Amino acid sequence: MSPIPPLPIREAVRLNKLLSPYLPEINGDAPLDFVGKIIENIKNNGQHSVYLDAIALMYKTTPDKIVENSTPEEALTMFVEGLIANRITALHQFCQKLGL
Amino acid sequence: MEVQLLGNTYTVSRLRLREWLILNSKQVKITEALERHDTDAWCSAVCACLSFALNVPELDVQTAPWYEVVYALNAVNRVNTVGINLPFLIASPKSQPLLDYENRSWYQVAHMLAKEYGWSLEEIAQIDIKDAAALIQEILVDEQLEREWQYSLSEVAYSYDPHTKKSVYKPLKRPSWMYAGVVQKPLPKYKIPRDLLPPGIVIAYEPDTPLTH
Repeated sequence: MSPIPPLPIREAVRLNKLLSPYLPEINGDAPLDFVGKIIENIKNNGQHSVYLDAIALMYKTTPDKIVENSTPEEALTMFVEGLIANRITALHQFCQKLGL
Repeated sequence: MEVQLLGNTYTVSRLRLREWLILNSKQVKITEALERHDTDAWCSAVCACLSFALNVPELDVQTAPWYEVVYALNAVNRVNTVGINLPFLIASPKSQPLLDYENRSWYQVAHMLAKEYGWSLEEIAQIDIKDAAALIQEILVDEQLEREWQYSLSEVAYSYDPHTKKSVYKPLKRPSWMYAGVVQKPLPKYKIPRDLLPPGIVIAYEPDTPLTH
């Protein structure tokens, strides 16, 4: 599987807006713990669509297509790889700093 | 300084006066969008600013990874700082007078420098921004002092005080940036020798009544 291209600025800001309510404090956690906390926060808030919307945004597709074409494990892998490719912690810190 | 966008390397160079003023107006749009919390306008302004500064198509900036764009934007801002702290730059007014038009700042600066030094528009466009900023401040100071001199010769500068029956000079108000950095010295405190203090006890002082001892 080829690495996904990072998002351009407009979509990256949109991704941050989508995920920022669910991003945990950045405190040097292992990347997998960090992603795990994001998913847990999304689940706890009952906003499951955010998870699919974020994957759809990062992979330039629709939530329906992800549900149709991917298993839950594949979707999780896509989510994790998407966040890594988009340097989510750096993105969040940058957006926070500017108040975006 | 070099930056990368979509795998291509671009050199960030310090812009000359005319281009710097255009860049500055684009940077203002970024700040305004941030103040309005308008993310769409902010993204558009960032892309327009970088596209201009690096001379690349706007579409390239719009499709480049976000962190490359942010790094490039920082580099452009850093390379194009004025590099000199001038009071008039810090305290510039934010008003939008009715006379404003696109790129007016360039024409204002060009007019000021051409009038003062007789340089052509081409020559002015090529001045380094640090030199331009310092020269503009000198022109503004000269203009203000000239205005103060002319004002001091006019009748309006003196108001008649019927109490003292004298005319009092009211100095012309200076722009706020001319006061920037002026630190007022605190009044020195010193002890008055006992033998210089007034005799007796001062109970009250009223301006129009004699002192009570």
